[in-house]
Amino acid sequence: MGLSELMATYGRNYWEALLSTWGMTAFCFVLVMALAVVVTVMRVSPFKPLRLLGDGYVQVFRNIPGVALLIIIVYALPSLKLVLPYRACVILTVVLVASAFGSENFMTGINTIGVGQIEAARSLGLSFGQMLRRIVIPQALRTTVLPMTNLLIAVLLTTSIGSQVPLDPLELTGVVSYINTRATGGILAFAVSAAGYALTAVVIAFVGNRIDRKVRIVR
Amino acid sequence: MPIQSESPTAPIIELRHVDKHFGDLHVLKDVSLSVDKGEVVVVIGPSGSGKSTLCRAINRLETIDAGEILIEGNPLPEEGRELAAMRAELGMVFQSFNLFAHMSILQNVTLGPIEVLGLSKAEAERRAMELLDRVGVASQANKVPAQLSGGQQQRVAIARSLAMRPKAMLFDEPTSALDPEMINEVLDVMVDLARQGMTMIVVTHEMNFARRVADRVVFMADGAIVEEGAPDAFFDQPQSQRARDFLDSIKGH
Repeated sequence: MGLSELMATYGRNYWEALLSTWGMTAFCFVLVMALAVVVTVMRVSPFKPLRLLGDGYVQVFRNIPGVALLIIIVYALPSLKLVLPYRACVILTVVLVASAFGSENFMTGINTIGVGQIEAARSLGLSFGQMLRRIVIPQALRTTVLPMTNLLIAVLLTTSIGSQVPLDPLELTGVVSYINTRATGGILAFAVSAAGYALTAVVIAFVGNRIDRKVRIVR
Repeated sequence: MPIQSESPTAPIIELRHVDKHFGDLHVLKDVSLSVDKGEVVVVIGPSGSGKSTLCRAINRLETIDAGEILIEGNPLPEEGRELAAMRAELGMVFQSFNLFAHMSILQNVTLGPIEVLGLSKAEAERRAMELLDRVGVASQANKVPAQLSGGQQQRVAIARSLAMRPKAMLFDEPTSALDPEMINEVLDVMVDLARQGMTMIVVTHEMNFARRVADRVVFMADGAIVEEGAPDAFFDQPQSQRARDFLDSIKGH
């Protein structure tokens, strides 16, 4: 089957799968950033139990393969009487893993701030929360645009674990299996999806670079 | 500037028998010091003598192991909201300026008044511009710290502290990180401040500033206050051998 025939027959499936991948990526990334901020705040908080919990979270989820975690969530959670829709399982998996990496990015960003600015904020009488909100988090966000761009691309690619469970609509990797069980698309069927990932990643990287140049902190 | 005080006779800052260790190192040894309203106390001494630690302990950037620190007769709170409120009343200027790198000069000066004092943005900005004008950097208000020279940054840091209308100002070696040609622009601001009656504790190596501005010079060595007195008396006739050695060591350059 040639490219034109492939696209004529399955173009609509690819398009739906691309939209599905984009949607999951965007939704996941919003949750990833939110959870990464929460975990990072725990890790720098003055309360030791919170710090341990935050560090533990990162160590656990950074070190589990995404597919393994997906299997646990799909097959183990129901024994705890918690049955999630398949798409929610995929999103949960991606968010748990990626937010651990996101928190590590934030920690690196926080380490560039330097104790001096923290001391200056404290000596002005700022509370811990005010210091986080006005000094630490804004600077951590602005210094981690490039690593977070990488993370967004990683999230995009990780949503492909959705191919391991039934999804409707399918995402960009699952759609290849769907096509290849019905026709002999072969490697070409993969190449189309790969192009979808690659072009998206290029756009993300371009925009990330632009944002970084705009918000980077001059030191 | 109205200064309220529960007990008008109490010194603004008082340290009683303060002790501190960094591990095995005894950095503050039974330090007692009292600073009255409007007084300018300059702390000098060789490096490692504990003078910076002393300055930082006063707003609890360093904790102490024993003794008491009183602000207007009230013990320094250990943590939480009370400590933050006390810190807001003490200005602190650091050796390395420590301006907030992601904010404009104006935002650096308005942050504390808006967040801590609850001023409106407009009022905070009006006050900030007055202060930036007073320290001579009003024209830089919309730049970020990295675009300013060290001397300018340190003057902004002083304005940032003054914007809180503090009861006293602590200076921790404010000119030690500056190129020589920028030292005077910062010292001039400090001299003005002293003349206007600000209570100040200044840790410094600038002996001319100490002689000219200090009401009292405190000489520290090895974590203890060895000698204190009026600047002329101290510099012309130091009583202790340590102080004589120290003054000799910095003379003749």
